[in-house]
Amino acid sequence: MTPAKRFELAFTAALVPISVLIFWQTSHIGAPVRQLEVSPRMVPMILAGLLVACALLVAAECWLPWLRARAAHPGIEKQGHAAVVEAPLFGDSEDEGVDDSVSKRTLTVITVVFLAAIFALEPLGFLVTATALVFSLSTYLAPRFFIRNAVVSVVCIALVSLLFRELGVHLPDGILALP
Amino acid sequence: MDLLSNLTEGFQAALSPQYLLIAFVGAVLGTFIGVLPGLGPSATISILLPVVFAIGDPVGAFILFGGIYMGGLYGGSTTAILVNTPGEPSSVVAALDGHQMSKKGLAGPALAAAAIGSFIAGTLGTIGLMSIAEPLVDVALRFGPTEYLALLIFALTAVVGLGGRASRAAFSLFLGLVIGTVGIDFESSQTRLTYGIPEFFDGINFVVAAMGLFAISEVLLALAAPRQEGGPTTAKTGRLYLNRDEWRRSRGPWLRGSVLGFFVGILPGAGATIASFMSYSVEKSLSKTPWRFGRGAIEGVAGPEAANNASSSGSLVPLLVLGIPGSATTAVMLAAFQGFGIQTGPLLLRDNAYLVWALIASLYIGNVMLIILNLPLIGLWVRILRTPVELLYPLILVVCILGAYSLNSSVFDLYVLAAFGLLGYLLRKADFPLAPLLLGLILEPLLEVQFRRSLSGVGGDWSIFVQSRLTLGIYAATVLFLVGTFFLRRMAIRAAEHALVEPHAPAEAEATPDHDVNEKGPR
Repeated sequence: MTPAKRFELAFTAALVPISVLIFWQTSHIGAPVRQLEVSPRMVPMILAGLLVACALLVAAECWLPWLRARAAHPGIEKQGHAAVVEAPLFGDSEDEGVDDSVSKRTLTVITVVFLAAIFALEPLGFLVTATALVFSLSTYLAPRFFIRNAVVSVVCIALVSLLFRELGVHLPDGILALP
Repeated sequence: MDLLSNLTEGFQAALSPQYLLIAFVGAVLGTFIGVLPGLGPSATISILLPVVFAIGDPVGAFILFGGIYMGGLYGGSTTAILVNTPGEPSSVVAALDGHQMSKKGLAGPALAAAAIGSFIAGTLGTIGLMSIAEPLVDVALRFGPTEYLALLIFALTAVVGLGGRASRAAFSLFLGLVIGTVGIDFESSQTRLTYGIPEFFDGINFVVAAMGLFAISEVLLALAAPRQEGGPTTAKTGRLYLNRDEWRRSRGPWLRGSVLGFFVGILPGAGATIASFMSYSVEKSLSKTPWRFGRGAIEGVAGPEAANNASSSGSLVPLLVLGIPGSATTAVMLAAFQGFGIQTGPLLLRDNAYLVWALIASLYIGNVMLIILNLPLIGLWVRILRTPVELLYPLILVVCILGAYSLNSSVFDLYVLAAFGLLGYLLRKADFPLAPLLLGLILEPLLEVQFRRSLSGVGGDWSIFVQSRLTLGIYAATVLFLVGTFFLRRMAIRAAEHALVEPHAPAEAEATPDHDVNEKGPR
């Protein structure tokens, strides 16, 4: 099974309990103080109910063919097991496994750096945070060009900051704020 | 005539130096993002929303967005033809024959056919928009809440029916609609799905949601994907004009593509991609030499590119007349209208005629600018493809952070941005379309208001929804449409397959060299 297929099966399966949870939450929306023709929970419940129906449909469309294929070829199950034991952890081919783990690592790094930048935006200020974000990500993705990355980060962020200040957008100064 | 006097006023506004400059900036920016694979007009416009709100000029904002919208289509076809790298999904068809022409040293005529076709289609599409808009407004003003609700349901059904896998599109739509209910209920002041977080009391900010869904998810997908070293290799363009035979071959496809694209564009959810594939299939079916398609037939570039561009004008019809967007880009434009406090719907053309006609006039002007920009500056646009993604996409992240923060100077909005970015990434990875989600989010308040208005005053009697003949007619059309999309989907798939299948040429055609097949005409 390819990583993409594994992800698709897991994701579509997860949609069902998540949708049910949303429906449950809409059913707990409080009743209004005065009588209304349409209560505040009616429309959210209808929409959430339809969401659950769609989640079940999507999960069925994804899982049923796969389960049918597995049931139709039980022999492959054992061969598949042997193949899985021999194959890398992620994916059917060595290259796919490497690509997938690289992309997971890259995604994790981007997410962590992005969240760190959001967290640090007000304390450190826009100039420092944005420069650090661009430099760190560009150097992670292209470590050979760290001087280019540093220069471009500083120049571009300075220009962007100037442009947005001219447009009247307030940006946090952070540690560069004048006392 | 009202139409001419409105258009004259629109041109007077659009031809002012300030708005000409904005149209130029929009055209350049649109072409730039059209050239780059991945980042499309919807993501770009959503990133620019905080900027235009800060400037505070709605006319300038919409002229800018119109330029970006059309520029994106031009830019996508340039790289599709030259380097077989479509910048937009709707430019995929241009790559089929356009790149083949390019390999034969006919890149210039291919680009000229695309640019001229886009110009003609854009002009005809804008005429179509002008002609249809006002009469449709008169019809739409007769709509009551039940009719409007039925129309919204029709539009959302169309988006689901035509937007990729129907079940996944439906899930995205209902997810967007549920997210749209977050906040304080306007009638009862009851909080809904806010989890006690005060920042959610006013609902989810659709600008932040749009930036997260389109721009952040695109950055995550682009940077996390395996990348190839080195830039694309480009064919030389050669002459940038059409000879007499090429003009003759392109005329029909330009006109047919324009009409087809405009009417397909009006359908919510149909979009430029379907329009371009259908046009390609039509041209191939009508051609006396279908075996040339896929090998460098100029008709295979002229028709689809015209359809592509005309559909963008068509898609503005439901937005400007009814306030119902049919695509992600027009949904973000609707968000822009709402952000400026402009009432959308049938009254838009009456109450904000200046804005709408200035936008329509600027589409004409933008078309002229684009044809001037695109042909001589082709080398520059292709060089843009060599921009290192490791610098470009982190900068896009910074602009998104800036944009989201500037709305309310709130870090909380940035966490919402990140959450929608991750949601968009996961949905795209699992092949769920994002446009229905954004449409659901933006249209839910309107849908709910019309639903409640329908029931208020009749004691909650649900039979009100089936009392009006017009309403019943719209629901019947919805059901027919659902059935029709099944066949339309099969037609679109066959159009795509037909586009890719190479029919066998007659023996005498195969015996002759085909490198100058467009020069010498049919045998």
